[in-house]
Amino acid sequence: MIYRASDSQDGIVLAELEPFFIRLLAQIPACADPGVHPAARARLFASPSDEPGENMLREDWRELVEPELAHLFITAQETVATDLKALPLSESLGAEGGPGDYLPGTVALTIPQPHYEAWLSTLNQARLVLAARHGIGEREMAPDLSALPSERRSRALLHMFFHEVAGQALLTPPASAKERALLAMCQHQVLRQLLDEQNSPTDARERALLAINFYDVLQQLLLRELGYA
Amino acid sequence: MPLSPLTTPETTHQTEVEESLDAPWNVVVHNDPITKMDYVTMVFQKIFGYARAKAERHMLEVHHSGRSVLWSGSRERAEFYVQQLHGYQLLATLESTA
Repeated sequence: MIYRASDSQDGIVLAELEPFFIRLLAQIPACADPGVHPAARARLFASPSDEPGENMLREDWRELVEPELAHLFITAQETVATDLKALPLSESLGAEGGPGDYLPGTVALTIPQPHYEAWLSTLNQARLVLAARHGIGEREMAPDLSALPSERRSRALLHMFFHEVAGQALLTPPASAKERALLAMCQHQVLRQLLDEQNSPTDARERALLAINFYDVLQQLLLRELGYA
Repeated sequence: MPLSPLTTPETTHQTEVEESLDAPWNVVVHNDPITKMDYVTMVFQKIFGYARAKAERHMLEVHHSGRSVLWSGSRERAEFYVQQLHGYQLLATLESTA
């Protein structure tokens, strides 16, 4: 099993984390930062009005509201970054995110209950920024498989499988050892297929889509814990 | 005593401005393929205090029609709601109904 969720009084525990998922988790705050990327900034700091006569509102918004929003977003990111300090340091992951100097399957991360909202916000920021940076939109999130060429169709299917399998493992923890082993096998197979395409020019985009899907599953888990899903 | 011709246009203009300010403003949320539907529903419940069913109706309207008017009223309040929605990273704008 790559990871599982278990409820406790203190919050959600993501357990048996392997290097790939540790890296995806560790990257959340960095992914949420739009930096100076124009599309990412435009998405996080959207205009309050499309009406031509509202230039003054847009100017005031940039001057007064955007700094407040930026503070809100950064505060949430800092909360998540604090929780992520429990993960092994990057050097212990090994050069390629390999086993490093800790026992695989022994790493766990707790998301404390009072931090759920900060995690929800930061995961959403990360998904939006990644999508904006890599030009990911409706076509990738809900692809019309019949309209895609075969190579892209297979990739889209793999992403959908990854999303499904990751979601199953987190949202419906396996009931038996056999189910657990099957889920782990599916995750490994799908991940291997996706990561085998590292040499393609679309590698960064593929990885961004993987991260978006993984963060989506985490958001779903948090929404369920808060009673909104 | 008849009104001076000069004062009439000014009065008319002021009345139009007041009417324009009094006209309700819509808070509109626009579709975004990345943000999760459950997350959007949660935000509508938290900001507007809507029951889950009403929040879901608005979320589905955004999803299918590309936009939904979440609230109408004073400009000041509309700006406040748009800021709140942006705080949850939803695409929201205010629109005049005048």
